[in-house]
Amino acid sequence: MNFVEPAMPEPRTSRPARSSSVMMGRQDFLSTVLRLTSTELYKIRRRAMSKVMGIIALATILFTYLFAPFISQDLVHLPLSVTVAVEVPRLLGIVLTIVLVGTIVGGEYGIGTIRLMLTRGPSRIQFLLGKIGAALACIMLGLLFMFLAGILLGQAVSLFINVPTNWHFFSLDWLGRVLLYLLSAMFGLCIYAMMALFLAILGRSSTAGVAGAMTWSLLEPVFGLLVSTVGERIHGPLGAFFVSIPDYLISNNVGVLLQNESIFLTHDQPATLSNLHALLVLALYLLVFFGLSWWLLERRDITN
Amino acid sequence: MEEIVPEYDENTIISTSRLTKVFGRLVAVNDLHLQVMRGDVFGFLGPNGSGKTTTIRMLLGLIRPTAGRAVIFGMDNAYQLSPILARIGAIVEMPVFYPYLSGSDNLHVIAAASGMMQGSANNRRIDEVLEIVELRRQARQAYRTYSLGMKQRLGIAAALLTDPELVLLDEPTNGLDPQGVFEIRQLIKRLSELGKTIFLSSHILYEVQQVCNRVAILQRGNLVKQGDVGELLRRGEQIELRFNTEDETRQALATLQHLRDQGLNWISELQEDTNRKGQPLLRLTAPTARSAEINALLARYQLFAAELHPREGSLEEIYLELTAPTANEGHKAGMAALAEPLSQQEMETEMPGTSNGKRGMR
Repeated sequence: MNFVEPAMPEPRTSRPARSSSVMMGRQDFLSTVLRLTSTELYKIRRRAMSKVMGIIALATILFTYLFAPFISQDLVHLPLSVTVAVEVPRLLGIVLTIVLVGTIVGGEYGIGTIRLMLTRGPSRIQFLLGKIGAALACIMLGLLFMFLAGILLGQAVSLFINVPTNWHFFSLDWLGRVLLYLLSAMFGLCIYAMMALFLAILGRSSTAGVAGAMTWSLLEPVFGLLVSTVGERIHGPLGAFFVSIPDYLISNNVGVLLQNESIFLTHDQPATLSNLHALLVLALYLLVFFGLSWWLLERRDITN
Repeated sequence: MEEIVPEYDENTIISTSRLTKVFGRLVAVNDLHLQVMRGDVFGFLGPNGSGKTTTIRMLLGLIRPTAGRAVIFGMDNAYQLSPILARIGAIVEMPVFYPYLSGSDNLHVIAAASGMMQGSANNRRIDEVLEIVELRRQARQAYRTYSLGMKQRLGIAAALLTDPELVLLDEPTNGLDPQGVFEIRQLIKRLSELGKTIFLSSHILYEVQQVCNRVAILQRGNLVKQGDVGELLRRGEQIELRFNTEDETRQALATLQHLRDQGLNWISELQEDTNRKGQPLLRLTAPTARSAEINALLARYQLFAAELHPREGSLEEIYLELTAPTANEGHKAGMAALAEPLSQQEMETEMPGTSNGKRGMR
């Protein structure tokens, strides 16, 4: 059915004053998004799931630093403990981020509260940005907390096993590099968060978000290995194409960023791909996941 | 195609024009023209699957119309949804909240989502709405432990949180006990007295008849009736006359038919019937206020009724008639009289192809 959009005449019905007990906040776009983000964080804080996740994270850090001295004593104290304090929370963070984001977004569909939230005034993009804001805050705070907890615990363990730390490495430059390394890990988690968000919206459920993103993140390295192996055997342009596919996968590019940022600690070789390549590829994934999520949320009817 | 501009003025709160929603091959709502005025308690009736909830969802922007438009507070909801929603409090179907939060915490979350200040700034308002729905004592209890009625009350509290101008209630008494239903009815009356416009979708016709001043009836997505409740009920008024003998009954029928032919046009229908005891009855579709006049007229012809019962019209009868399956149309001819246009001023819609599109026996 076609329908011609007419220009709307201006008169609007006047708005009577609200009750004096209703205290309205600022209504501009950013204030609304910030309010939604803060509300989302409040809901996350009140969930039992968040407490369980916190306990899992702490327990993982604890076990890591209790058992790390058995592998290498250097791993528990600075500067090398930074790699453990970033890598362990990052790997665990992939799982926790996917579960958290898949649940907070998919749960709105599952419980039916999306209906409630979208009839209260915020636009769909504000609703989406509120969720993303909360996810980013959780990733940043969670990773930072686990990182600091790891470093402190490592230092405590090294004192306990009587391995002294030589502080000659410490400088502002070193601190800056650690920050970049940490930010790279956070950025990597953001990609998985957006993936879970997109899949939860696509499937309108937590299950779709959690299971979909988990499967993707687990199968992606396997897929990368498979196509590069096949590519190496085929030779020619098709083989080269297959070999180049892993360069555009999420896990590989996150790995590139982390490897290039951690060489000041590990003194390994830099990755074959540049940071710029990795950043561009990951930014494209972010853009696609966010764009599709927005498009789906805007376009689709809320019928549940 | 012609330009669609819904009619509205300063006092029009909702105005839809040719609002249509098609899901695949199913036309859920077809060419709907609704008009809700400021201060109305507007009843929205229809059997299950008639398109009531779809209409409400379109008004709230949850689903997009396939065609047509909805103007609320003079703003098109396709373009200015946020400012519209800021002035509406709504319950859509069963209210749903976050199960891990308490009733009060849920209201805090909704307050923030509604643009209200966060933290304790709105504690007083939250207490007020909890008081209105009598949930204050259970405010700290987790939502998942609430009974169906308590959930419904919390939904109403959430709808009232921002002190909205328009309250949209989709089956608000679902799950409530008779006392709860009564309280909601009182609440709707109170809100109406405060100048709120209420849009009430309900299956409980008695409830609608008690509180609404205007109604719209939907059937299979089509609007079959829209108008003033009082006017509708007046058209359903009947006067029952019982005479002692069948002969007297027949004479009275002939006399009244003659008088009607002579210009007594406020009698729209005449029918012979029997009561539960099998006694003959004469049933007139006429204003009950004319009962004494009827009695006096018949007395002039030496016809004295043994009993005279003025019978009020009921929304239930009107509803059942208008939403009756097509197969029963032939048996409903009498009630079809109600499908007559209400008045020149009253907005009146009768859709082709629906049972009420036909006129009853005159």
